[in-house]
Amino acid sequence: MKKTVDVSIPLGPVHPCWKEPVRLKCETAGERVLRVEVELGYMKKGIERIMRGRPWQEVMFLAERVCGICSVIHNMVFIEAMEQMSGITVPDRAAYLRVVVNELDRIVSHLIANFSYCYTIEH
Amino acid sequence: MSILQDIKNAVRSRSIHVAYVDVGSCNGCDIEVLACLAPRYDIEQYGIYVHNNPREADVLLVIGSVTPQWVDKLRDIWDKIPEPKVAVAIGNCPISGCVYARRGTLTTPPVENYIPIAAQVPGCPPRPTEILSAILSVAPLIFKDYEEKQP
Repeated sequence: MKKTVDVSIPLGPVHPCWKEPVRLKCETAGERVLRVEVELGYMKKGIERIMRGRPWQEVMFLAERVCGICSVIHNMVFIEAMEQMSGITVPDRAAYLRVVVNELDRIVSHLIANFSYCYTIEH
Repeated sequence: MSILQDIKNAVRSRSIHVAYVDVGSCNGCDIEVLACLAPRYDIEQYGIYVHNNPREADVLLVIGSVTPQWVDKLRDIWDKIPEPKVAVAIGNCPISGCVYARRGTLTTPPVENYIPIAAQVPGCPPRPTEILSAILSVAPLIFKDYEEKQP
């Protein structure tokens, strides 16, 4: 008869497979993982707290620093929020250009993700 | 100088293992370190291997300004790296905090307050060639004749 052992496996915050810190506590029974506790918040820098009470020109570049890989979409969301607040309508040409830039950003993001996964499994 | 030290010098000059730890950056410097691995810059032709495992690392790349969760854990990771070891700060964030060092922030830069830093690579983000040259120039200074320099 195969003997199964219950083990609690802590993973992280630094792990060879992960690019960003996170902490997982896996409760296992033999080979099966029953429960996982996720601890987040290792990257909490307080960007919202810095942004509060400042003019939008001053924190526009900070919206890009939410994520360096997908910086275009974070900046775009911030700009669109500012436009909705102040009631600005975007011309058609600018809207088309934004779609192009966002698609380019998405392609880059997917390429980086695929590179990262392939490098992690070393193939 | 003993023969054993010569062998150690020869081995250490061509096999530098790198771990990088992200203590609260925006991933911008992270993907520049990943770009070093790509065929365009190819960090492995210099004998540098990125394994991201502190227990087998020689060089620790610290990326980002220090968030509250990392204040005590960064020192733990530094203690787990076997001797000889060297830490390199990548980007503006570990040096000054860059855009995060403003009123209302949760981060506590610089990273020198927590672990000893041997080299700093400024830039937001720095170029992969700068990261490469920093690792290549600082590693021989620390690793060459390490045992003979010890008191």
